Amino acid sequence: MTSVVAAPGPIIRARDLAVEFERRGGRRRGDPLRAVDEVSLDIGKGETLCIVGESGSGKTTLVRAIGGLVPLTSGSVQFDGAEMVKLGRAARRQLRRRIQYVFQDPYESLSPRRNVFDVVSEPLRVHRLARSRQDLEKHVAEVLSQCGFEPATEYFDRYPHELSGGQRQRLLIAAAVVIRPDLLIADEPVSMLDVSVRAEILGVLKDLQASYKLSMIFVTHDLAIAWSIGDAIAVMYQGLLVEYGTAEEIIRSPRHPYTQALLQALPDSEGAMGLRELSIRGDGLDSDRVSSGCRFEPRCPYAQAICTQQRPPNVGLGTDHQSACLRAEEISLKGVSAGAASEARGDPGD
Amino acid sequence: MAGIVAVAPAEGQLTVRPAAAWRQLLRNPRGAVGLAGLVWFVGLAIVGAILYKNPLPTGTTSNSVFLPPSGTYWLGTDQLGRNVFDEILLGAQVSVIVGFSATALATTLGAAIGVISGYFSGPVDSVLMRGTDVALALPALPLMVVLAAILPRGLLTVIGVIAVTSWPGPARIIRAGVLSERERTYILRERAVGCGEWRIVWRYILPAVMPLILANAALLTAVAVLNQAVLAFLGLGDPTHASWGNLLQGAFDGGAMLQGAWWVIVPPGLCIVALVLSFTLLSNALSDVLNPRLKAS
Amino acid sequence: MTMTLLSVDGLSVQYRQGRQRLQALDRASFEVSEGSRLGVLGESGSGKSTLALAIPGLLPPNAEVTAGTVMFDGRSLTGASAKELEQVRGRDIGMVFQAAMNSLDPLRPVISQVMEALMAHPGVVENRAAARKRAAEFLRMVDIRDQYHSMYPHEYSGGMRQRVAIAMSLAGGPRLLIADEPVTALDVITQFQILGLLDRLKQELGLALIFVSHDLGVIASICDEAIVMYAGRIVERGTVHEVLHQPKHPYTEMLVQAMPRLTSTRGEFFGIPGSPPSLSSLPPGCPFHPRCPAVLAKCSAEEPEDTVLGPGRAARCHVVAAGVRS
Repeated sequence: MTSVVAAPGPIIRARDLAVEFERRGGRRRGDPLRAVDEVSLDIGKGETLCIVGESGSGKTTLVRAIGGLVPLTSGSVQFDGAEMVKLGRAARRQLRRRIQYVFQDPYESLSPRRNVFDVVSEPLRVHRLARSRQDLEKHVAEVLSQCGFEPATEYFDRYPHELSGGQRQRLLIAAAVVIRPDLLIADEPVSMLDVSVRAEILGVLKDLQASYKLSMIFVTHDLAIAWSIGDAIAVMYQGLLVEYGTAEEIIRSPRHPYTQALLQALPDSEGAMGLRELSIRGDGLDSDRVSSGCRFEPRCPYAQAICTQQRPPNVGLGTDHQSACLRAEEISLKGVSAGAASEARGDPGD
Repeated sequence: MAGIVAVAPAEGQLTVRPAAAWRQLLRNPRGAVGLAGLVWFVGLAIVGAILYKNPLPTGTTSNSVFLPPSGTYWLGTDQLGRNVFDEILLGAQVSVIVGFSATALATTLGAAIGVISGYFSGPVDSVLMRGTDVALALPALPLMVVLAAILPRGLLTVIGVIAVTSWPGPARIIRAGVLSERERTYILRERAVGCGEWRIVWRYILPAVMPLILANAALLTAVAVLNQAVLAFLGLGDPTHASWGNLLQGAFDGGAMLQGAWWVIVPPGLCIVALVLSFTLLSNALSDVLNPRLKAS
Repeated sequence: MTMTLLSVDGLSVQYRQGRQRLQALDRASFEVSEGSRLGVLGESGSGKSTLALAIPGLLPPNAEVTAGTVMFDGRSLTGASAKELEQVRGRDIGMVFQAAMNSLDPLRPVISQVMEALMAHPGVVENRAAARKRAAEFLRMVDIRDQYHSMYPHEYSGGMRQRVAIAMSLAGGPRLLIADEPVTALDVITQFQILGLLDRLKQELGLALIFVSHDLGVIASICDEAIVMYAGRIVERGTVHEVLHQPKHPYTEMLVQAMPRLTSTRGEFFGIPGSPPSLSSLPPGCPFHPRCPAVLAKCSAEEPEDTVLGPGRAARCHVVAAGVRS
């Protein structure tokens, strides 16, 4: 049984991580679905990595595999230097203390039969981290206040159905951080919340990250949120990591056509749909996965012969700006610059 | 009479608050009637147990046999000259006791199998479910009759025999409820928190399927009462304890039909029907109350 | 001079829930001209979906129009009989709802469902053959190529199914399309394509549009005018440009700021403290006042009326009213 010792280096080191599922019925039965296809990633301590992608991109499966909730088909994940697959049962239990999750649906993620106190104290009880009832209450109250529940003790007896969506999500965050994990994985935590409420959740996450020195993986389909909360961004397409870089690099100077398309497709406050360009092809029908060459090729407006013949480069090894586009060096892609839209905006509220 | 007792789980049903559920139940006409019937018969059983003891005194002369209802004998006498009214009251116990115990046994067994099978899946599920399938396939009534005939007569045998033939239905239904509950996000989250599997079963899955178990149990009780009456009627019940089924059996064997002694047949028959109906209505109402409650407003 | 196609005046809707009556819509008034596009912006409980259902008379049985009128092309819809409404729906007013793409019949090929939509309106097509031809045209119009026409809905992507739903809603040749969150469940690239489609349909068919959404960016990219809803009330209205860049109502202003944008500073998040009120426990006075940074004493006592700021421009706010008078 290896003990997990704090080692220097990234908190997560994933190499060639792959997750396959058996297909049930349908045309392609027997041919397993590669939800995550050999993804490599490093996540630094204290860093926030945003994983961006559409539904079906594999981003949820990827983070569940990283956290050990879903078994890997192949590849490896190291948590703080320790190889996760090789861990015994007790060590795995320990791992659950150090990696915690916040899921997307604040309604489905809570049992209707447990009140606020139960929900937040459960992790403490499971991991036997409190010596007495008072101890438990102290920890729970502390983390609830940090998540914006004031006065904390008044919320102890409330049930989920008495809380709003935003409150529930903050409750879930409290339950996730009460045992002081090292890594928090948030899977689309604000997608189901009203826009005006999202900021509060993002703010709470950022504050907690600072106070508890958390590393964070934030999954989202919204590039604008990734921009505002992420240090680094990883873009996924159909199970593959297609681009990786800092938030600045990805948004200002993308190096993969898919990233460019995502940026172009974002609603533009200036309207005039007819004038806007989207550099992507295809009808949107599920194409059969191509076996050789670049997976994005059928939809890529920049595709050339080489794109069907050669395997795209691996992305995710190292911290520089990487792209899985074979033609990344040749083509010039447009990002969103800081000044552009703000010029057209008038002064608000005069 | 036995066979599959089914109250099926609905989508997202299992989010109820007990206090609100009670109020809902009482407001539901079937629930109110069913509950009233239940209380009535349990009351009857208690009164019967206090007032009388088994066995009841038989008639002293041959003239006291099959006497019609009168001032002295409110429901007349049976083939042995016993006071039918007293017998009804005394017999209520058996129905209630057998009903509840057989159900408790069958439900506990069925729930345990259903929960373990549904939650843990894999080979355990396969084995348990095949066993359940076999049990389901066996015709209940003949099995009950055979078992009751072989085993020593007595209340325990009756309870056991009924339980043994009733558990497969709940097992399947509860397993289905567990299967759907297991996939819900909050269960995944508890696992992510580090909750062990058995803890999840005990603290989350079981409370979640409890409404389903209860609704099923009410229906099962109705069937158990009926089965006890059937067994007693066939002469396979417990002859030392007065029961409505025994009453009917005695009546038929003693020629009540030929003599036109309806007072020995109709009252116990009505009581059986009424009690069964009460439980059925209760089960229906429970099902209504618990099923569409997706999110409390 | 474009004519007014739809005129909603003082429309109020109540829902019966148990013993409670919830005011889902409170005196909503606005107009939609021929060929113009109105965005209805709101969060949960704002009443935007109630509004979308109330116009074509599709409210559920426990809802009731308690006041106001809806006039379409000079005819009153609120006073109309069920039969009259049936004729209006589909022929004059088309509807696309959020889960429309999931409500296609899984057992029939797509083209036959579009055909059925066409044949449901008397006089649109003469016979089955004509229906098939028109159906194919409609599908092409929403960018679905011929080779996909005979396929089944489950073989389509979500975006394609939504496009079919849009095609079916246009089958009766309506002049107004009401779309309630039509792109919410779709990925951003498909969303762009559907918005582009709706934009083109306006150019090609002169279609007027009421677009309901919680996403200000989406509304801004396709609508000319916008109304902002909060707790069943229309709190602000104007052109999209005015609402977005010169918001008057504090709620609108904060909502605009809350939109995460690629041009905003990283790490800065703006939101509105608290959450939208539930209709069963609305605060007294202005429903927004508990969350409002500019709240005056008056706001907790008295509900504000519309302050008109110009043609088609208004806000329901005491602070705005005070500003105008001073």
